[in-house]
Amino acid sequence: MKKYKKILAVLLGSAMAVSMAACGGSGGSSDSSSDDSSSGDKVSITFWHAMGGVNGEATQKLVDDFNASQDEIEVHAEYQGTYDDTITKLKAAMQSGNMPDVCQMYDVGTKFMVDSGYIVPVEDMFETTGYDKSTVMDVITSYYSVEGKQYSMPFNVSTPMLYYNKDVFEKAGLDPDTPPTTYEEVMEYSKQIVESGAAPVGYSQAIYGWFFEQQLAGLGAYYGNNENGRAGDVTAVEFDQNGAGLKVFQLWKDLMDSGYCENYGTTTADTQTAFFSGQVGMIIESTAILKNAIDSSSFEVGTGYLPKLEENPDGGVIIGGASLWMMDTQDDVKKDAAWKFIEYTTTPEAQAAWSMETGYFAINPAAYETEDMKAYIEENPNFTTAIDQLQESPVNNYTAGVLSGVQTESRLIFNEIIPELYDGNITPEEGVASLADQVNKAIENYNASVGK
Amino acid sequence: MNQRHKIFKTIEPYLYLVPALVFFALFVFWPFGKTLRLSFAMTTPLGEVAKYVGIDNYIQIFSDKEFLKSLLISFEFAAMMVVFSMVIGFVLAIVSNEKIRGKSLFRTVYALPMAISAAAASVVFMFIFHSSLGILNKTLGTTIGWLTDPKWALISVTIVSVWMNIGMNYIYLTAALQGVPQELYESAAMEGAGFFQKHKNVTIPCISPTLFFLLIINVINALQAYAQFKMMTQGGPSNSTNVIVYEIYQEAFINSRFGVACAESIVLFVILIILTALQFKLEKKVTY
Amino acid sequence: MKHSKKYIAVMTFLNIVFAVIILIPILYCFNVSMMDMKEIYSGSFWPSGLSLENYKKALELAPFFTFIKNSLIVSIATTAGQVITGALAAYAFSMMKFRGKNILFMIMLATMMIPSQAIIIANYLTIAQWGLKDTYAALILPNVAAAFAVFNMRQAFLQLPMEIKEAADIDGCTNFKFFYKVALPLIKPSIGALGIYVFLQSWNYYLWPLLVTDTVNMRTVQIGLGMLQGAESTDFRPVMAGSMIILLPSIIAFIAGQKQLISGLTSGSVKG
Repeated sequence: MKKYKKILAVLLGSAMAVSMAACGGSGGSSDSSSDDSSSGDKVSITFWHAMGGVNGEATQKLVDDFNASQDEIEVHAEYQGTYDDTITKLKAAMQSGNMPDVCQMYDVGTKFMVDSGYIVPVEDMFETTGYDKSTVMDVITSYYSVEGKQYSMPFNVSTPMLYYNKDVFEKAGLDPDTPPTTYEEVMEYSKQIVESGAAPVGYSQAIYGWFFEQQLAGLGAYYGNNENGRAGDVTAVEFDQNGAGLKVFQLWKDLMDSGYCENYGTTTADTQTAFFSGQVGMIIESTAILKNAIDSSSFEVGTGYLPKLEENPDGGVIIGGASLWMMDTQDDVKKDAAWKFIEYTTTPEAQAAWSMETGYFAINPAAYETEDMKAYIEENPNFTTAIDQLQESPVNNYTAGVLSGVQTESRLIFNEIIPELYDGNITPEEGVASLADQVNKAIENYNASVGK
Repeated sequence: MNQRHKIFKTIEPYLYLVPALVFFALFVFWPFGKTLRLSFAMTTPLGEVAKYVGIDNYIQIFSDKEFLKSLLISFEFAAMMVVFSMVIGFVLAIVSNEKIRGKSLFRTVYALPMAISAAAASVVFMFIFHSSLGILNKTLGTTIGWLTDPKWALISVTIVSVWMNIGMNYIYLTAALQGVPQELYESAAMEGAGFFQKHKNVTIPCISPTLFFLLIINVINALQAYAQFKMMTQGGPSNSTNVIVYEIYQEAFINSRFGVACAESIVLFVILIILTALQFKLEKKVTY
Repeated sequence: MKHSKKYIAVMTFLNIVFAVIILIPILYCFNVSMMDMKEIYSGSFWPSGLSLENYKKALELAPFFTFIKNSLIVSIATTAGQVITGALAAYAFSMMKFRGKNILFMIMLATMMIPSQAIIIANYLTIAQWGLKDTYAALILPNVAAAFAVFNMRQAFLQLPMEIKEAADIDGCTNFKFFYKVALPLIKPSIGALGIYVFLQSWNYYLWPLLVTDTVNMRTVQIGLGMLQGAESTDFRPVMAGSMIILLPSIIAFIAGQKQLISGLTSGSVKG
């Protein structure tokens, strides 16, 4: 009996402690980075990122280097899961007032951040700090700019390009030093690869909405209206009106119907696996996987520009990846510290180190002039392909890419339509119409929910 | 004294419930109330109420063919998953309950998949299922796109899910088998019952409360599974694996339509309540 | 009961076959963790040699020992919490008579039907409001009680013959004494099964620990696995190595729980 009372007392006690905590916790909505902000005289700021694996290591090193480079600011880098996890967590943090000072956010989250009301556009800091906007290539900043104003600082930047298996090319009697530049050539080469028995599959592209957007940009066409949302909010898609969507859908269909291409689904890693294992002669993938591709393949990897559908002077590639955002923490000291860190990430030395460790682009052209970087590029000639392709890309609102609050969803919708197209359940025309219809509905809903 | 004792007797049962109820109130009922409220609202991308829209969200999801299809897929998945993981778990529990060598090793092996997270399992099976490189196609001599063909994707994810779920069924059934009196088997043997008859007539009736428990739990678990879908197929190809909980996850965390996601959650909640109530009715009818 | 040698041989053979089939994915996971970069893509099942390099890499990328410690604390506390709160409630639901019993049981059971996605953000806001973010309490509290545990133990108690309880009542044994002296030991196998299940479930949590912890020293093993994966492409070998690292404590937990499962053999001869 005594024991019974004792245990019950413990249980009730713990329950009460919980309810007391519930009542006494109204003051808890302060800044999360306050945990050890008073370590000495240093300003302590928190930086959330989504970089795992070797990129996570490089991010930590970048932060360590910054912390060592000065003694006023201490940045705490904290990994927050995948990109999707990070945005989920940031949304929750915004509601509870526990935001970090700097947050990495993927490209498709840009519009959400702009509309959120919880951020400080980086451009606001340019004037007071004397930062030169041209430090970063404008072909890169254009993605993170709305009506000419830069909202965030590009961090990890990549574009798609063509990867091909030089051994397979040789076996198929193709020149291993001249990759195809158009999709027409891709199809010819694929045919030759398969028919010569050099590889079971000629070409493959993962079902990934990003590639669709890239192919539209290559045609010099808009995805969404209002110049891809750069001159005002997107209210509807435009790819169904300008004919470019149909051209791209027709391409996907033709490639699959040729019998020389294979579909490995929406998980890009599956297409990579097929390529690394030598099953596929050519794939398109992000420039950021170059290092992994070379390390994983037992053949010589070649790279080329993203193939073109048609020649178009306005066409080019869109950058992808993620950028750094300054959160509006209502604390000027921290905001200044956050900016100093962000500014540091753009220095040539930081960019050169970052680029060599991760395979992402250096966003500051001066980084390519550093000795280390020069030596690195010399050793990795494939890296030049990526840089040249980006530099040759014209700066305009086609290649800036679409700025829309529903782009993650749009890509998922795309993912669901393409298998239907492959299976012949729908025609390319129907596919485009269905995609446009569903994305338009999502846009309408989004605009209503943010009061636009 | 007697009076006090009487009062204590009346309130005593509730005292046993207090600890659990306190936690449920704080971490389930309270947030669930919020869910219910949000299901009648249009929400901002942050998840806050933009405006109340009455039953619009419900009208929307029930007029959405994709949602109804995802319900159907969920049931299909749940049916396969419940049957296979319970039957396999049962078979494993029976064969490893015999007096054989290495019994505890087998027991550990059978429960081991439970210890593998969905994230790790998905990566492993991604390799196993890979259409050109995977050991499954190599072993079978086929070229099936296990995860890329709409005809196969749901089956493939079910295989992974069953593999992950066998362990739970296995340990509960093993635990239940310990409670079956040996004498019953002996008398069954004396009556000349064979292997299958023995288990049909003795084992199953004896462990029926556990079977019932597992049935309910499996149905709920199956209808709430989403991690493996997120990792392996993202609901595709062509929405062929878009189960309702993945749909909820996607609406809430990817598409930022919390209102719709909450309405879908409420619908799933009601469905599960009805299914569970039906199973309880069934239990009363068939309990031995 | 004696079985023929043939019967035992057949059963042993079946066990071996089943064990192999179930082990293949885990074995594959282990094999990949031993491979070098190019080997994974060569399509071979076995590694060419044993190398711990990927384990070193995994430990370099994520502090797994810290994560394992955190996960152990969280999983053990969660398991203890669910067994205690569950056993108490289950006992009332199965062995006692009181008003509103069925409706209360239904309400508790209903908590299982709520998809976790629907309440996770609201719970995050609660934890943040209480100022508990980045603490063990945040990781443990929401899972201290679970309908699953209540339901599980209720079924176990119901399997006990009512006569024992009646005899105890006549002897003047108090409810609580009966509960922990008689009833609990009798359902030990169920507690063992429940313990294993809850422990492993908690071990595998990902989204909740990610939301309520911010700093690396409070994080749990599944987030560690996440830290090994890249955004555009992943070297899968450290991921597999990490999976093997975090598998070990689970196996130990299982072996510990298994003792409870088996102990029922000796104490379970009450019925019949």
